Amino acid sequence: MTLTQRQILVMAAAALTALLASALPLHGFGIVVVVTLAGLDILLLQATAWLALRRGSGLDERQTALRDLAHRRGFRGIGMAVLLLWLVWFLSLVAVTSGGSGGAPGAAIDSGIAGRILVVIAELLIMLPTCVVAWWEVGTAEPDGIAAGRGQGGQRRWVAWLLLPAIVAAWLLAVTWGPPQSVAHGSISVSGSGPVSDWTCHEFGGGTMIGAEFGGTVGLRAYVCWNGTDAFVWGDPNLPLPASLNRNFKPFTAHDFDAAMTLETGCGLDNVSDFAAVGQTTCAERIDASGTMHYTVSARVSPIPFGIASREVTLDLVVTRTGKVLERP
Amino acid sequence: MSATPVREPRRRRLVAKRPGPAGLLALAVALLVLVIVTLGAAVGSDIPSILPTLGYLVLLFVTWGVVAGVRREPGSWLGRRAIRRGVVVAIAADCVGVVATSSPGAQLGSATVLLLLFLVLLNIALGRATERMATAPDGSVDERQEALRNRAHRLAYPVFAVIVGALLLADVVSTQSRTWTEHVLGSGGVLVFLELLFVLPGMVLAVIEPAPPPPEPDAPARSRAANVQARVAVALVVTVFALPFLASVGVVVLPVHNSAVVNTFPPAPPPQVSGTPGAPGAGDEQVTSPPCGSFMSTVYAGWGVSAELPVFADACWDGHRASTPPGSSSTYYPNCWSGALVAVTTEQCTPITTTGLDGTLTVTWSATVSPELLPFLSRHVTVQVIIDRNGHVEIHG
Repeated sequence: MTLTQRQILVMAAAALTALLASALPLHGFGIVVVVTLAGLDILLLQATAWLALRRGSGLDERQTALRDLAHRRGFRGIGMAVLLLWLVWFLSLVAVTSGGSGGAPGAAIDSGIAGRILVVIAELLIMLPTCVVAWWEVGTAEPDGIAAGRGQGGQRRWVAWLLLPAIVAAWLLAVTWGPPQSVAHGSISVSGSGPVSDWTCHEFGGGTMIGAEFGGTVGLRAYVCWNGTDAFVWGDPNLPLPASLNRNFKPFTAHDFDAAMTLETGCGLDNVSDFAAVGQTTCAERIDASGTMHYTVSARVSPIPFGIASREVTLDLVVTRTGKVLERP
Repeated sequence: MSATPVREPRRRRLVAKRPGPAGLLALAVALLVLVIVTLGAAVGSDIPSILPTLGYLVLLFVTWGVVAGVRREPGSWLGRRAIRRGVVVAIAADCVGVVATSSPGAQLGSATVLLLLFLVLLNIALGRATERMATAPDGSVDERQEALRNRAHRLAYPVFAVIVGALLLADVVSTQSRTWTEHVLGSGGVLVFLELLFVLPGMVLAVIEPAPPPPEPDAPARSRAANVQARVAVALVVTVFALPFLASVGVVVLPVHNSAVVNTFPPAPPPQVSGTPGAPGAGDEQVTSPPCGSFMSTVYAGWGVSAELPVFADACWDGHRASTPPGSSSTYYPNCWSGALVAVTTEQCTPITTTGLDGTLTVTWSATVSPELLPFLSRHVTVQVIIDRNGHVEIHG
């Protein structure tokens, strides 16, 4: 492989890494990006004869020096790469939110480091020295035998490509059979009196993650108020208000709904669907005779199109008329 | 692929710049800091409270520059292999301590601040011990050093990857481990990450670098200028580390001082009826308005490391007594006491207002303050804004 071809591979890998690091929505196709990136990585590793990952015993002095130099430049490049990728994320976030397709401001759930970012960091840690070798090394870095694709070298070429189905299988296994993980409430915590003086309100957030950062997350965000007679969700125009409230409270205006929904209550606002599509999200509220509110969010997490191997996720929030939380995600 | 013949390594050692005006500059800056602190503490002047911090930052940068310019002599004690490895172990332990003692989202505690200061010291020591070979420009290292530092980076790379990879793995494994990851990253973990990113190759280099050769008997003696610069560097490092502790002692021993008292918008004075019964014109009541003022200032306990309290008092006076005008708020500032590296253990935010027999109005705040770097020291501070019957204001601490 020529130097130009290797540099094109490096640029392609960088572009995919930037896509993962950006805030652009992946709509459940993150695994496609990851597998493509892994394929590019294998090509790069083979083009450099796995030099950056090889131990010293089979290398001559020049190869050893090149490998060590690549690690030095790679190590120094980590900080710069993190900075650049953060810039990509920030600019793309601005572009996405200004385009009106962004999610809710703030975060009602804290799902840790997103799976796509984990892949980015792993890519940097594993591949930067190889990229350095591929970018700078003039001529071939391949020892005799490997370049010709014969013998043990040829077998290694073939075996490496097994990594791709292995990644897909592991991902599918995690999303379809992996135990769901609960997601904590995010940094936003709003609490206090409601729009009416005798209400007390609190924001509840949480969720369930399928596939451990590499699947989908169903989030719940609800601003719940209680007045001693009923507990109810405030700010979602699709949810009914309790009868006790309707007698005393004038209907919302559209502006009220917009403001409340943007900040406090939202159905599906906190779903994360980078590696699996999260669809059919429904949010339902029921207030029983004792004034206790039952708020239920349900959604379907589908790793593969057409609902194949999909999983149903249901989140329940139960709050009494005095504000006691009986169940929460 | 054929190996290229190994060239005779260029025996060019890292050469430090000859001592220039940096030492004098550092002394001047240190003197400036000293003057600012001393002058401010002595006369309670209106020097902005940010100045000591700025001065300290300048001192830090100058110290860094002077230390970077000092040449390490072969065979110096810091270059010994055991010492170098000891420094590496200390840095690793310090990093663990930083993560263990810090909590997410909170202000850094005294233990963490101490460990960070110690980490800076260790980094300087590591840089001196390895001649900052890991980050030196390409032109200033010989081939042996180039190969050595490249090897150090190769060894450091998997160590760094394993540490970061463990964090990534913890983010995936379970909810509990993800919470732990968030805790680590939200607290001192980021600082440790940066430390490893910039210093880990130097740490590996310190471990793998062979012991330096003994000094040759006929080697030229160190120049006088180099000696002076080395001593200045040591003095500056000591000053950098001693200043926060000295300033912490200042919280307890220095007199409380305050910024200039500013009279802002005076409150509306209460109307008063005057007139003397039986006198000519008796019965013609006259409405007068006594003078009033809203006095603001900031009171400091300590310099650089200090607790501060914004004080505010409304008062009117008529020559007989000073009083608080009706409707004046008793809670003057919601944030009350605050401090830089100072813990305010007990505080009284709502002031006590009293009027003396001589008509003097006294507004009193109090708190117990303790420097975070020396938590075994503490001091009870009482601040009084005294407004006499003629409207003269004094602040006592």
